[in-house]
Amino acid sequence: MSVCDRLRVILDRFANGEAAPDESLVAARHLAECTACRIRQARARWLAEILEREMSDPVAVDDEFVDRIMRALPATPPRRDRRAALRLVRLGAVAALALLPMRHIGFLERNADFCRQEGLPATASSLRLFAGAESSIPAPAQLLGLVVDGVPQLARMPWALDLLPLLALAFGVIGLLVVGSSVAGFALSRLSDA
Amino acid sequence: MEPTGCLVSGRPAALPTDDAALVVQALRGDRGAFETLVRRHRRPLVNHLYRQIGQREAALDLAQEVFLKVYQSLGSYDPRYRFTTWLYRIASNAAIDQFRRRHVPTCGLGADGGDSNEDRVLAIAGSDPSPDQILRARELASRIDRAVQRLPAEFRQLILLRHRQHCRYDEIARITDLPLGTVKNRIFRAREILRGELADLLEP
Repeated sequence: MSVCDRLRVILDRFANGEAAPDESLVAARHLAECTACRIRQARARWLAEILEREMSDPVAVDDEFVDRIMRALPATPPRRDRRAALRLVRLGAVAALALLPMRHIGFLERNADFCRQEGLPATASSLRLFAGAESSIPAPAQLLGLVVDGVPQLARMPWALDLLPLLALAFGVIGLLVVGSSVAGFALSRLSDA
Repeated sequence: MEPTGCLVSGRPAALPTDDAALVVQALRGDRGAFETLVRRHRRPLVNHLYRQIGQREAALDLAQEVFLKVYQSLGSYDPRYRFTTWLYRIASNAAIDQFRRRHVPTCGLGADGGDSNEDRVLAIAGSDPSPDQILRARELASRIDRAVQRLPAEFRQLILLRHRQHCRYDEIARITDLPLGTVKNRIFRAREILRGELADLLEP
Protein backbone atom coordinates (compact mmCIF):
# COMPACT_ATOMS: atom_id res chain seq x y z
CA MET A 1 0.00 0.00 0.00
CA SER A 2 1.44 3.39 -1.00
CA VAL A 3 1.83 6.35 1.32
CA CYS A 4 -0.99 8.11 -0.52
CA ASP A 5 -3.36 5.19 0.09
CA ARG A 6 -2.43 5.00 3.74
CA LEU A 7 -3.10 8.71 4.17
CA ARG A 8 -6.38 8.81 2.26
CA VAL A 9 -8.58 9.05 5.34
CA ILE A 10 -6.39 11.68 6.98
CA LEU A 11 -6.21 13.70 3.77
CA ASP A 12 -10.00 13.58 3.45
CA ARG A 13 -10.41 14.84 7.02
CA PHE A 14 -7.77 17.52 6.37
CA ALA A 15 -9.63 18.72 3.26
CA ASN A 16 -12.83 19.00 5.26
CA GLY A 17 -11.22 20.82 8.15
CA GLU A 18 -11.73 17.89 10.53
CA ALA A 19 -8.16 16.69 11.04
CA ALA A 20 -6.52 16.71 14.46
CA PRO A 21 -3.38 18.87 14.78
CA ASP A 22 -1.00 15.91 14.42
CA GLU A 23 -2.97 14.62 11.42
CA SER A 24 -2.86 18.09 9.85
CA LEU A 25 0.90 18.12 10.18
CA VAL A 26 1.23 14.72 8.49
CA ALA A 27 -1.19 15.77 5.72
CA ALA A 28 0.52 19.11 5.09
CA ARG A 29 3.95 17.43 4.87
CA HIS A 30 2.68 14.85 2.41
CA LEU A 31 0.80 17.39 0.29
CA ALA A 32 3.94 19.48 -0.05
CA GLU A 33 5.60 16.67 -1.95
CA CYS A 34 2.72 14.85 -3.72
CA THR A 35 1.02 16.43 -6.73
CA ALA A 36 -1.58 13.64 -7.12
CA CYS A 37 -2.77 14.14 -3.55
CA ARG A 38 -2.90 17.92 -4.01
CA ILE A 39 -5.29 17.38 -6.92
CA ARG A 40 -7.40 14.96 -4.85
CA GLN A 41 -7.33 17.49 -2.04
CA ALA A 42 -8.68 20.21 -4.31
CA ARG A 43 -11.51 17.88 -5.41
CA ALA A 44 -12.35 16.98 -1.83
CA ARG A 45 -12.57 20.67 -0.88
CA TRP A 46 -14.71 21.39 -3.90
CA LEU A 47 -17.10 18.58 -3.01
CA ALA A 48 -17.51 19.95 0.51
CA GLU A 49 -18.14 23.42 -0.91
CA ILE A 50 -20.73 22.41 -3.46
CA LEU A 51 -22.53 20.18 -0.94
CA GLU A 52 -22.91 23.14 1.37
CA ARG A 53 -23.38 25.92 -1.16
CA GLU A 54 -25.13 24.49 -4.18
CA MET A 55 -27.44 21.88 -2.75
CA SER A 56 -30.97 23.15 -2.61
CA ASP A 57 -33.60 22.87 0.08
CA PRO A 58 -36.26 21.64 -2.33
CA VAL A 59 -39.29 21.73 -0.05
CA ALA A 60 -40.68 25.11 0.89
CA VAL A 61 -42.38 25.13 4.29
CA ASP A 62 -45.13 27.71 4.67
CA ASP A 63 -46.74 29.25 7.75
CA GLU A 64 -49.69 26.88 7.46
CA PHE A 65 -47.31 24.08 8.53
CA VAL A 66 -46.52 25.96 11.73
CA ASP A 67 -50.19 26.79 12.33
CA ARG A 68 -51.18 23.12 11.96
CA ILE A 69 -48.61 22.12 14.59
CA MET A 70 -49.64 24.87 16.98
CA ARG A 71 -53.31 23.88 16.64
CA ALA A 72 -52.45 20.23 17.32
CA LEU A 73 -50.51 20.94 20.53
CA PRO A 74 -52.16 19.76 23.75
CA ALA A 75 -53.67 22.53 25.86
CA THR A 76 -51.52 21.77 28.90
CA PRO A 77 -47.78 22.54 28.82
CA PRO A 78 -45.39 19.57 28.70
CA ARG A 79 -44.34 18.21 32.06
CA ARG A 80 -40.78 18.31 33.30
CA ASP A 81 -39.05 14.97 33.37
CA ARG A 82 -38.23 14.27 37.02
CA ARG A 83 -36.77 10.82 36.52
CA ALA A 84 -33.20 12.08 36.73
CA ALA A 85 -33.93 13.97 39.95
CA LEU A 86 -35.63 10.87 41.40
CA ARG A 87 -32.58 8.77 40.57
CA LEU A 88 -30.41 11.30 42.38
CA VAL A 89 -32.68 11.20 45.42
CA ARG A 90 -32.55 7.40 45.51
CA LEU A 91 -28.77 7.41 45.17
CA GLY A 92 -28.46 10.04 47.87
CA ALA A 93 -30.75 8.10 50.21
CA VAL A 94 -28.70 4.93 49.77
CA ALA A 95 -25.50 6.86 50.37
CA ALA A 96 -26.94 8.48 53.47
CA LEU A 97 -27.97 5.07 54.81
CA ALA A 98 -24.32 4.08 54.64
CA LEU A 99 -23.74 6.47 57.54
CA LEU A 100 -25.97 4.60 59.95
CA PRO A 101 -23.88 1.47 60.66
CA MET A 102 -20.75 3.57 60.96
CA ARG A 103 -22.17 5.31 64.00
CA HIS A 104 -22.02 2.01 65.89
CA ILE A 105 -18.60 0.65 65.10
CA GLY A 106 -16.58 3.38 66.71
CA PHE A 107 -14.45 4.37 63.77
CA LEU A 108 -16.00 7.83 63.56
CA GLU A 109 -14.71 8.73 67.00
CA ARG A 110 -11.28 7.23 66.29
CA ASN A 111 -11.04 9.29 63.13
CA ALA A 112 -12.28 12.35 64.97
CA ASP A 113 -9.46 11.94 67.48
CA PHE A 114 -6.95 11.54 64.68
CA CYS A 115 -8.24 14.63 62.86
CA ARG A 116 -8.07 16.68 66.05
CA GLN A 117 -4.46 15.61 66.57
CA GLU A 118 -3.66 16.49 62.96
CA GLY A 119 -5.03 20.01 63.40
CA LEU A 120 -8.34 19.57 61.60
CA PRO A 121 -10.82 20.68 64.26
CA ALA A 122 -13.72 21.29 61.84
CA THR A 123 -13.49 17.77 60.45
CA ALA A 124 -13.08 16.31 63.93
CA SER A 125 -16.13 18.21 65.15
CA SER A 126 -18.26 17.04 62.20
CA LEU A 127 -17.19 13.44 62.73
CA ARG A 128 -18.12 13.66 66.39
CA LEU A 129 -21.52 15.05 65.43
CA PHE A 130 -22.14 12.05 63.21
CA ALA A 131 -20.88 9.72 65.91
CA GLY A 132 -23.45 11.18 68.26
CA ALA A 133 -20.81 12.46 70.63
CA GLU A 134 -22.14 15.99 70.24
CA SER A 135 -25.79 16.78 70.58
CA SER A 136 -26.27 19.67 68.14
CA ILE A 137 -27.43 19.16 64.55
CA PRO A 138 -24.67 19.60 61.95
CA ALA A 139 -25.06 22.71 59.84
CA PRO A 140 -24.78 22.39 56.02
CA ALA A 141 -21.57 24.44 56.14
CA GLN A 142 -20.08 21.92 58.55
CA LEU A 143 -21.04 19.04 56.30
CA LEU A 144 -19.45 20.74 53.35
CA GLY A 145 -16.43 21.56 55.47
CA LEU A 146 -16.09 17.89 56.33
CA VAL A 147 -15.93 16.92 52.67
CA VAL A 148 -13.65 19.74 51.55
CA ASP A 149 -11.41 19.54 54.57
CA GLY A 150 -11.42 15.84 55.33
CA VAL A 151 -11.35 14.01 52.03
CA PRO A 152 -7.92 15.34 50.93
CA GLN A 153 -6.56 13.97 54.22
CA LEU A 154 -7.48 10.39 53.34
CA ALA A 155 -3.99 9.65 52.08
CA ARG A 156 -2.56 10.69 55.44
CA MET A 157 -4.71 8.33 57.49
CA PRO A 158 -2.43 5.86 59.30
CA TRP A 159 -4.83 2.93 59.61
CA ALA A 160 -5.82 1.40 56.31
CA LEU A 161 -9.02 -0.17 57.63
CA ASP A 162 -10.52 3.22 58.32
CA LEU A 163 -9.87 4.66 54.89
CA LEU A 164 -12.79 2.93 53.28
CA PRO A 165 -15.33 3.86 55.96
CA LEU A 166 -14.14 7.46 55.84
CA LEU A 167 -14.63 7.45 52.08
CA ALA A 168 -18.11 6.02 52.66
CA LEU A 169 -18.68 8.78 55.18
CA ALA A 170 -17.74 11.42 52.63
CA PHE A 171 -20.00 9.70 50.11
CA GLY A 172 -22.77 9.68 52.68
CA VAL A 173 -22.36 13.37 53.40
CA ILE A 174 -22.46 14.18 49.71
CA GLY A 175 -25.55 11.95 49.52
CA LEU A 176 -27.23 13.94 52.26
CA LEU A 177 -26.44 17.16 50.43
CA VAL A 178 -27.82 15.71 47.18
CA VAL A 179 -31.01 14.59 48.89
CA GLY A 180 -31.42 18.00 50.47
CA SER A 181 -30.84 19.90 47.24
CA SER A 182 -33.06 17.52 45.24
CA VAL A 183 -35.90 17.86 47.71
CA ALA A 184 -35.49 21.63 47.60
CA GLY A 185 -35.41 21.51 43.78
CA PHE A 186 -38.60 19.43 43.77
CA ALA A 187 -40.32 21.82 46.07
CA LEU A 188 -39.27 24.80 43.96
CA SER A 189 -40.38 23.16 40.69
CA ARG A 190 -43.75 22.26 42.24
CA LEU A 191 -44.11 25.83 43.43
CA SER A 192 -43.21 27.21 39.98
CA ASP A 193 -45.65 24.74 38.35
CA ALA A 194 -48.37 25.86 40.72
CA MET B 1 -11.36 23.37 12.12
CA GLU B 2 -14.58 21.50 12.72
CA PRO B 3 -17.82 23.45 12.84
CA THR B 4 -19.21 24.16 16.26
CA GLY B 5 -22.40 22.19 15.85
CA CYS B 6 -25.66 21.49 14.06
CA LEU B 7 -27.18 24.32 12.11
CA VAL B 8 -29.87 26.61 13.33
CA SER B 9 -31.91 28.07 10.47
CA GLY B 10 -29.32 27.12 7.89
CA ARG B 11 -26.45 29.01 9.54
CA PRO B 12 -24.01 27.90 12.23
CA ALA B 13 -25.56 28.57 15.64
CA ALA B 14 -24.41 31.96 16.90
CA LEU B 15 -26.08 31.58 20.29
CA PRO B 16 -26.25 27.88 21.10
CA THR B 17 -28.13 28.50 24.33
CA ASP B 18 -31.04 30.19 22.58
CA ASP B 19 -32.88 26.97 21.84
CA ALA B 20 -32.38 25.73 25.38
CA ALA B 21 -33.79 28.99 26.73
CA LEU B 22 -36.83 28.61 24.46
CA VAL B 23 -37.33 25.06 25.74
CA VAL B 24 -37.38 26.36 29.33
CA GLN B 25 -39.95 29.00 28.36
CA ALA B 26 -42.07 26.39 26.56
CA LEU B 27 -41.98 24.19 29.66
CA ARG B 28 -43.38 27.14 31.60
CA GLY B 29 -46.34 27.15 29.22
CA ASP B 30 -45.14 29.75 26.73
CA ARG B 31 -46.51 28.38 23.44
CA GLY B 32 -44.93 31.28 21.55
CA ALA B 33 -41.48 29.99 22.55
CA PHE B 34 -42.27 26.61 21.05
CA GLU B 35 -43.62 28.28 17.92
CA THR B 36 -40.28 30.09 17.57
CA LEU B 37 -38.49 26.74 17.78
CA VAL B 38 -40.75 25.28 15.09
CA ARG B 39 -40.25 28.29 12.79
CA ARG B 40 -36.50 28.15 13.30
CA HIS B 41 -36.08 24.46 12.52
CA ARG B 42 -38.98 23.66 10.17
CA ARG B 43 -37.21 24.11 6.86
CA PRO B 44 -33.96 22.20 7.57
CA LEU B 45 -35.91 19.43 9.30
CA VAL B 46 -38.53 19.00 6.58
CA ASN B 47 -35.86 18.94 3.89
CA HIS B 48 -33.74 16.52 5.87
CA LEU B 49 -36.71 14.17 6.17
CA TYR B 50 -37.60 14.70 2.52
CA ARG B 51 -34.15 13.49 1.54
CA GLN B 52 -34.64 10.43 3.74
CA ILE B 53 -38.11 9.59 2.48
CA GLY B 54 -38.22 11.07 -1.01
CA GLN B 55 -41.87 12.19 -0.74
CA ARG B 56 -42.80 15.79 -0.07
CA GLU B 57 -46.15 15.25 1.66
CA ALA B 58 -44.86 12.35 3.72
CA ALA B 59 -41.89 14.49 4.84
CA LEU B 60 -44.20 17.34 5.87
CA ASP B 61 -46.48 14.96 7.79
CA LEU B 62 -43.53 13.28 9.48
CA ALA B 63 -41.98 16.63 10.42
CA GLN B 64 -45.28 17.64 12.00
CA GLU B 65 -45.31 14.36 13.93
CA VAL B 66 -41.72 14.99 15.03
CA PHE B 67 -42.50 18.49 16.32
CA LEU B 68 -45.47 17.15 18.29
CA LYS B 69 -43.28 14.42 19.80
CA VAL B 70 -40.70 17.04 20.64
CA TYR B 71 -43.32 19.13 22.42
CA GLN B 72 -44.63 16.18 24.40
CA SER B 73 -41.16 15.17 25.52
CA LEU B 74 -39.68 18.66 26.01
CA GLY B 75 -39.32 17.85 29.70
CA SER B 76 -36.75 15.18 28.94
CA TYR B 77 -34.53 17.49 26.84
CA ASP B 78 -31.03 17.55 28.31
CA PRO B 79 -29.59 21.07 27.88
CA ARG B 80 -26.05 19.70 27.99
CA TYR B 81 -26.58 18.77 24.35
CA ARG B 82 -27.65 20.96 21.48
CA PHE B 83 -31.36 21.12 20.82
CA THR B 84 -30.73 20.21 17.18
CA THR B 85 -28.96 16.99 18.21
CA TRP B 86 -32.02 15.99 20.21
CA LEU B 87 -34.43 17.13 17.47
CA TYR B 88 -32.64 15.19 14.74
CA ARG B 89 -32.38 12.12 16.94
CA ILE B 90 -36.16 12.13 17.36
CA ALA B 91 -36.53 12.77 13.63
CA SER B 92 -34.14 9.93 12.80
CA ASN B 93 -36.12 7.49 14.96
CA ALA B 94 -39.40 8.73 13.48
CA ALA B 95 -38.06 8.21 9.94
CA ILE B 96 -36.99 4.65 10.82
CA ASP B 97 -40.45 3.95 12.29
CA GLN B 98 -42.03 5.39 9.14
CA PHE B 99 -39.99 3.06 6.96
CA ARG B 100 -40.98 0.09 9.11
CA ARG B 101 -44.68 1.02 9.10
CA ARG B 102 -45.18 1.93 5.48
CA HIS B 103 -42.14 0.72 3.55
CA VAL B 104 -41.92 4.15 1.96
CA PRO B 105 -40.40 3.91 -1.49
CA THR B 106 -37.55 6.31 -2.10
CA CYS B 107 -37.25 8.23 -5.32
CA GLY B 108 -35.06 10.83 -6.93
CA LEU B 109 -35.29 14.44 -5.92
CA GLY B 110 -35.11 15.84 -9.43
CA ALA B 111 -37.99 17.11 -11.54
CA ASP B 112 -39.82 13.82 -11.04
CA GLY B 113 -39.73 14.26 -7.27
CA GLY B 114 -43.00 16.16 -7.32
CA ASP B 115 -41.63 19.61 -6.53
CA SER B 116 -41.94 22.57 -8.78
CA ASN B 117 -38.92 24.56 -9.83
CA GLU B 118 -40.38 27.50 -7.92
CA ASP B 119 -39.75 25.57 -4.71
CA ARG B 120 -36.06 25.33 -5.38
CA VAL B 121 -33.80 27.76 -3.67
CA LEU B 122 -30.69 28.43 -5.66
CA ALA B 123 -27.55 29.91 -4.27
CA ILE B 124 -26.38 32.11 -7.10
CA ALA B 125 -23.68 34.67 -6.63
CA GLY B 126 -24.63 38.22 -7.53
CA SER B 127 -27.97 39.93 -7.34
CA ASP B 128 -28.99 39.62 -10.98
CA PRO B 129 -28.00 36.28 -12.46
CA SER B 130 -28.35 35.69 -16.18
CA PRO B 131 -30.76 32.99 -17.46
CA ASP B 132 -27.73 30.90 -18.36
CA GLN B 133 -26.37 31.14 -14.82
CA ILE B 134 -29.78 30.23 -13.40
CA LEU B 135 -30.01 27.20 -15.65
CA ARG B 136 -26.50 26.03 -14.79
CA ALA B 137 -27.10 26.49 -11.08
CA ARG B 138 -30.30 24.46 -11.33
CA GLU B 139 -28.53 21.71 -13.20
CA LEU B 140 -25.74 21.67 -10.63
CA ALA B 141 -28.16 21.54 -7.69
CA SER B 142 -30.11 18.80 -9.41
CA ARG B 143 -26.96 16.74 -10.10
CA ILE B 144 -25.86 17.01 -6.49
CA ASP B 145 -29.33 16.15 -5.21
CA ARG B 146 -29.46 13.07 -7.39
CA ALA B 147 -25.96 11.95 -6.40
CA VAL B 148 -26.79 12.32 -2.71
CA GLN B 149 -30.12 10.55 -3.21
CA ARG B 150 -28.38 7.61 -4.86
CA LEU B 151 -26.18 7.07 -1.81
CA PRO B 152 -27.11 4.07 0.34
CA ALA B 153 -29.61 5.23 2.98
CA GLU B 154 -27.16 4.65 5.87
CA PHE B 155 -24.60 6.91 4.15
CA ARG B 156 -27.07 9.54 2.96
CA GLN B 157 -28.33 10.49 6.40
CA LEU B 158 -24.79 10.90 7.70
CA ILE B 159 -23.56 13.02 4.80
CA LEU B 160 -26.63 15.28 5.11
CA LEU B 161 -26.17 15.71 8.85
CA ARG B 162 -22.49 16.54 8.32
CA HIS B 163 -22.64 18.80 5.29
CA ARG B 164 -26.17 20.24 5.40
CA GLN B 165 -26.82 20.51 9.13
CA HIS B 166 -23.15 20.99 10.03
CA CYS B 167 -23.36 18.50 12.89
CA ARG B 168 -20.14 17.36 14.51
CA TYR B 169 -19.17 13.70 14.34
CA ASP B 170 -20.06 13.13 17.99
CA GLU B 171 -23.45 14.76 17.46
CA ILE B 172 -24.10 12.55 14.42
CA ALA B 173 -23.14 9.50 16.45
CA ARG B 174 -25.64 10.56 19.10
CA ILE B 175 -28.40 11.28 16.58
CA THR B 176 -27.99 8.00 14.72
CA ASP B 177 -27.01 5.87 17.70
CA LEU B 178 -23.92 4.65 15.83
CA PRO B 179 -20.36 4.30 17.16
CA LEU B 180 -18.17 7.32 16.41
CA GLY B 181 -15.76 5.21 14.35
CA THR B 182 -18.60 3.93 12.17
CA VAL B 183 -19.81 7.49 11.59
CA LYS B 184 -16.34 8.65 10.51
CA ASN B 185 -15.84 5.64 8.29
CA ARG B 186 -19.23 5.92 6.60
CA ILE B 187 -18.87 9.65 5.98
CA PHE B 188 -15.47 9.04 4.40
CA ARG B 189 -16.91 6.30 2.19
CA ALA B 190 -19.92 8.44 1.26
CA ARG B 191 -17.59 11.25 0.17
CA GLU B 192 -15.60 8.81 -1.92
CA ILE B 193 -18.80 7.69 -3.66
CA LEU B 194 -19.90 11.29 -4.23
CA ARG B 195 -16.49 12.24 -5.61
CA GLY B 196 -16.84 9.36 -8.06
CA GLU B 197 -20.41 10.33 -9.01
CA LEU B 198 -19.58 13.99 -9.50
CA ALA B 199 -16.11 13.47 -10.96
CA ASP B 200 -16.86 15.51 -14.09
CA LEU B 201 -18.04 18.47 -11.97
CA LEU B 202 -15.03 18.23 -9.70
CA GLU B 203 -12.48 18.69 -12.46
CA PRO B 204 -10.51 21.75 -11.38
